[in-house]
Amino acid sequence: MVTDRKAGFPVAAAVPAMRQKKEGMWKQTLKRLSKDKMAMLGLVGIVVLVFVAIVAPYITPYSYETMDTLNMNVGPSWQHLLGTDTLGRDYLSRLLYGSRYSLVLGISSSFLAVFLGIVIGAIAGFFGRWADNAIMRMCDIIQAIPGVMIAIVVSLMLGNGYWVTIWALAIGGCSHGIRMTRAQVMSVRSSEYLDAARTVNCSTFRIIVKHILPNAMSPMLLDFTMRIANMIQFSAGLSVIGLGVQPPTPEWGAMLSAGRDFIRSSPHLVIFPGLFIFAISFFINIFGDGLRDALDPKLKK
Amino acid sequence: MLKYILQRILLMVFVIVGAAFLIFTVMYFVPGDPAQVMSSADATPADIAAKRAELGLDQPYLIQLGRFMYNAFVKFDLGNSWARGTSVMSSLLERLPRTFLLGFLMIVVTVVVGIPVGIGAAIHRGGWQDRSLMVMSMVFISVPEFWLALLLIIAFSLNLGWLPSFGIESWQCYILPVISGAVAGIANLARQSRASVLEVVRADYITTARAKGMKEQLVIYKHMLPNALIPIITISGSLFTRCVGGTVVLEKIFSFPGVGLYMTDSIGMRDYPAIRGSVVVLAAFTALLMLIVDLAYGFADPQIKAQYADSTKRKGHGRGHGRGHGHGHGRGRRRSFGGKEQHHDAAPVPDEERSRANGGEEKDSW
Amino acid sequence: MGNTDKFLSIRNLNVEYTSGGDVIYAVNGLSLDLERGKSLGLVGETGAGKTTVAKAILRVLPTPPAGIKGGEIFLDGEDILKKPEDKMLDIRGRRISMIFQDPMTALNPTMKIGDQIAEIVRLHSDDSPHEVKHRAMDMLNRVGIMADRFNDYPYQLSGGMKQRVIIAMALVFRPELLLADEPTTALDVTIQAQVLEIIRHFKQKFNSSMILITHDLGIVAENCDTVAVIYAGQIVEYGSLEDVFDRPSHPYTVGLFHSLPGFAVGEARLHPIGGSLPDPRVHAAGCSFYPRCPRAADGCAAGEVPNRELSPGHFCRCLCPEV
Repeated sequence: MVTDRKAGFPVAAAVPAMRQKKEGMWKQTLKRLSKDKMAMLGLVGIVVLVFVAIVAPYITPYSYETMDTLNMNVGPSWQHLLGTDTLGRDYLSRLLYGSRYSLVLGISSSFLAVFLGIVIGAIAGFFGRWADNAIMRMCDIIQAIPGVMIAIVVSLMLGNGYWVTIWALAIGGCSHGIRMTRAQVMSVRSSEYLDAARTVNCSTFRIIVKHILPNAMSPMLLDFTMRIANMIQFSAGLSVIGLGVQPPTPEWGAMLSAGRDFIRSSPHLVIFPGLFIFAISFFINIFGDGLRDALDPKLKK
Repeated sequence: MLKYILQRILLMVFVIVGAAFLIFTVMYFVPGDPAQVMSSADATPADIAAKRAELGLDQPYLIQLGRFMYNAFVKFDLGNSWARGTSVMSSLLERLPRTFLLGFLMIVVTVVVGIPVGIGAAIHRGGWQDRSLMVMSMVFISVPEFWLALLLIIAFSLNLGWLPSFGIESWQCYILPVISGAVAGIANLARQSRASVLEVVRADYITTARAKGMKEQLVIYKHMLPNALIPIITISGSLFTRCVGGTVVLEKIFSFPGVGLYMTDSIGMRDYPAIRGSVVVLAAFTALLMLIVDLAYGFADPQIKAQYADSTKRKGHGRGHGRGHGHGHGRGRRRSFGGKEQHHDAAPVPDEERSRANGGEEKDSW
Repeated sequence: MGNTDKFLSIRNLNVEYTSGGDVIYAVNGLSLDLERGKSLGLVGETGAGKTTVAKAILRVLPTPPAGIKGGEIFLDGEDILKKPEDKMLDIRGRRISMIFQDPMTALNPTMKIGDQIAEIVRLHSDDSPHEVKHRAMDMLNRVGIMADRFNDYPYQLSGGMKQRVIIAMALVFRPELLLADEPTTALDVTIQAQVLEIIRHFKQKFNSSMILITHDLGIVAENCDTVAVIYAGQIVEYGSLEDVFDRPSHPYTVGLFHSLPGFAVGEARLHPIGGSLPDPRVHAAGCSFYPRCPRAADGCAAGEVPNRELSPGHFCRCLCPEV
């Protein structure tokens, strides 16, 4: 009580805490993130894969469609670094090119899932009553059904294909975001500063955009990042079952699924696409893990 | 606690019925006419219409839904498979024990390996074992399970010839599917357990326990683990759901004749009753696992456990010592049900006053 | 602070924390004495190292990150820092016990409060289970909690009641030394007085010594015989209650009194101490209070400031004390 009001900081945080307030939260987050070696490794990996996806047509040794009829279904060699597939197409070229499909699929379905989550969650949280009840009970049910099965059922409804699969994955994965946004909205809804905002004639939409979304930003960002890897894996899982993206699209999951029939003769058809899926998942996961710690330093220590 | 259990069971039933409703509705709106798919290529429109009537597809949505729900939950009949012509329920009942065993084994392996590894890492935190384990767990979390399954098949079935890659003829057939399905879960659970133990390690009550003069091992077993377990149980729920989802893909890869394979086979044949039935049965399986997780949670969390202690006491020896005092001061009422918000309670005035008065008396007589 | 035949005697205690490559000097060459049956008030602001001292005496500092890097703590002439861990187990909770700052977090949330008290009885006695339970219930009664709350969990108790449970645990074995770490800080003002009353009552009853850690000078005035003012991990002033309260000598102690409403009698306004604690990662050469000191002189930052005895038993670590 004596001097605490003046200097109420715990020992370790005394000096840094003062500085922290001045700098922006995002700057702090980036700073912490840049110190995390694993997260940086993840980031480098992601950047390399994204770069490869962008410049794929210029760096692939062959076109992804050209068939080398003399070398069909052969293993890795100097001519074809990762071998060829059953039609004699260069596997490395297809995989590099496929990174476009897989990354776009992962990113866009993850983004859609988060976006749907925000919109539906905001509706549930803001309008309450029956809308909230209906949406939340729906989420209860959806969360009790394994994600793969949701995606299966949705892609049954929507059919196969690239963009359809993206939607199926997004719909299957949005319940988490719905819950998160709704909780966020609910907590803000009852707070006094919202009443204050209303008294100055803030519209509902404005309130949502200005007051609620910024609070939901960092968990959403994290959810988005971590989900990308999941989505790519889910889509590959769907391809294996016979749904989702199908050959000849050079998407990693579809390629892996197609290679499954030749696992005895040419295991490389299965090994390499999986390796790429694993690599992107690993990079995203370690980056996301570091991001989580950076966003909430209290969790670590 | 009895109320808690009943509540959870009700929730489970709700989820299963809800899942059935959702699945039916979604599949009703699936484009394409199953009757046409099922009819031969040279079938006339009249033939197809007859087929539709035979399958009941010409009825309005609500009638079809009502019939489906009535049959499924009252008569326990999921209809006949369009492609196979056999009863879906009996096919599923034949396959369910296998899927159940597969999922159960995955979960057991996940829990039995994941939790101790995580706790061990937390206790030896910062060491090289801990650090390498954390990196390894990230690797395993990132490995797609179907890819791992295929790699294991390439290595252990095709090259080494040690283990079978399909079927259920012997117990060895379960090894590869269980490993591929459990690895990611183990890594996940280990990380969560580690984090949750580390959270508890810093807690004040651990210092309290040490200050009592307790041996470190005892502090770990009696104070750290029971508290660390609560968040671990919470995370287990979603891991179990993933395990069930995993069986669907893994059954396909290992040609394992369970519910998942039945479903994926039916997808290709547009066999709606079979797909619906499989999804409902797998959702029920998941809901059952959730029920188990909830009950475990109930036993680990004192707020729910205290409720249990109360209800048994009231039933067992209703005039137990001193309960009367408590009720007079409104104690029973305060124990609101499942009110996790009041974990760190706001001091209710009557209690404080009662014990204050009480404290005065006791002190004087002493 | 001469002889070591006092009941408790701390000599040159150093405690460091390592945090992400930084070394934090929490306690720097701290020495103090306490006689049997007496109470010492350890006063200082948050972060001065008060709790660290108490935990060091019990040897329950979390290691790592904390480490006792030197010094001696004599309990009845025996250096408890040199004792093996299994001998410490007999001392903790039996000869020395501690009351914690935050009753909200100091109790295990998944264990019945009665069991938490019974546990310590079981650890230090060979009583039968029945006797153990009886003793725990008796202890609950003595701190003013009905024995029928034995089976309650901490979440069912108010803050004041939780603190009583903690006090009950600390007092089961009539400890020779009681470490009370801000026992009332987390409580409502009305409950603070009750809790202090309970502690005082038992302390007298058992003739225990007590170190009362607080930043509230009012509590010190009511409960303590000697006062030690701690700043940046060092005792800057030490003496009897009268010495320190009537004749505060260290500029920091003086500043504490000036920033306190009740004590600054006759003054129109309070005078808070400017600035904050020095960065604990830096091991400064001279007086650690120098940057904030109104009486700072040239020699202050130069080297180790000696601990001077102003009058018998009244020590002050300052080159130019106010006398």
